[in-house]
Amino acid sequence: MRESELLTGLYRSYGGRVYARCLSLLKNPEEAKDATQEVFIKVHTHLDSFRQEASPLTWMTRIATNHCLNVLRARRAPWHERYRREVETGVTSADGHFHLLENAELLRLCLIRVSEKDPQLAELATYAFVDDMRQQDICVLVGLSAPTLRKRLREFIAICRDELSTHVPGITFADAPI
Amino acid sequence: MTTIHLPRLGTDDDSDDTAGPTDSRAVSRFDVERFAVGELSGERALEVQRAIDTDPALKAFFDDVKASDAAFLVTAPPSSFMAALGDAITARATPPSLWSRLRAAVSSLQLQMGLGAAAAAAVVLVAVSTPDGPRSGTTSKGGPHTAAVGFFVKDDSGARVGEAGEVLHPGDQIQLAVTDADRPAMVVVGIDGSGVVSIYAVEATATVAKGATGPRVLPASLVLDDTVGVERFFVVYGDDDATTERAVRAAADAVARDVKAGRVDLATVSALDLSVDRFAQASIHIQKVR
Repeated sequence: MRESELLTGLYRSYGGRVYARCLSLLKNPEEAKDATQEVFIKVHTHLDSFRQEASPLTWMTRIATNHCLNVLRARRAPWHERYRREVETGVTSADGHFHLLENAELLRLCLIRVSEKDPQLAELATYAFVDDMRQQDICVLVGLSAPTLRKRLREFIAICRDELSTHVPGITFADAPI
Repeated sequence: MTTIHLPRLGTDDDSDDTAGPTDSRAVSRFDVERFAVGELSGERALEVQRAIDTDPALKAFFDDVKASDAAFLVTAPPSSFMAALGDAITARATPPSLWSRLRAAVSSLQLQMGLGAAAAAAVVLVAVSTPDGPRSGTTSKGGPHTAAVGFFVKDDSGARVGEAGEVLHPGDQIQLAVTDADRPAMVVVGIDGSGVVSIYAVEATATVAKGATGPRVLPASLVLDDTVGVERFFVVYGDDDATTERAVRAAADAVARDVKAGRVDLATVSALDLSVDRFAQASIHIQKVR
């Protein structure tokens, strides 16, 4: 199959998923379109290794996630205001509680913050908490053992806790099993 | 006062690195996405289909994926996207502008002069024609002598000085030239666009007196393979060849993993993650296109 036909086929099958991933992290349609193009440029660059991928979606999601986290890292923002605004205005879940994992914007803010300190940790947390990948699938994708993955995800939660405690005075926390 | 519920992942014995996963879900939302794009087949596809049929939340998610993907292709049709993608790829493959070349040439004047001398001295290896100076790669300080690296592009008529970021093709032949840092051991490593690491040279104290002779051309030339994309060459100096090679390989492998994962662009990775106290380094990159 010619290169251009292969790329077009990939775009038809996966373009929407890549765009959705970029939009969920960047929250800006134009930036998400640009990011989608960047992802496909990388796909073009790595087309030979791509042909051997068992799950193109997993591979492209990974490229998109890392690209978007890079974009977000480059932004500078007054974190305390953004956290506080989201905590004050964010919606609670059906059970009446405020869950970090169910507040997409607060989770996104935490991911951006973590990606500045530990890009790989932000990547893992995105797979687990944004993509909702199963832990065993993440282990295969990134080459970590299950205990190490869970340890890393606990680090992510701890950083979120510290971040929110620092920037939103008076906030308290409860554990919610996942 | 607001209470935020954080996810809880249970308690592992962190020293036990052999325990299996505990995520007991049969089907995740990501599985549904893979199913929606047609990636799953056989029993796994049936399993996900059954989950969608019985779980309203997964069904709603599946419907949303299908609808948003269809809408995306309407708003960003493949024909226009592929045209824009082609333009972007072509633009990336175009050599840098005259102004950026001039800026780089001025900033690398020292290496240009050095490489010119090295080329003249290495006339047995390459017949050098240098109407323009080379653009050096990035450098780091390494004591009295600062490491630097450049390259020559060889062809039937001789050789010319290459430029950082130059567009080259599979089959092209290049030869690296270095200005040695004041350290006794040197390792040259390359990382290509597919994340493959190649050690091209390891020199120890006994073979070369580093930092004494100025720029020099390395003996072996390289024929570029057919892996396209950015390829970067790092020259690293340390106190002994074995330690330096180990450190360089580990640092290069880390970069290669990031390249494979799409986390970094080799055009911007100017240095390996090595202690500045123990190692001096420089690098230069090329862009390979078919």
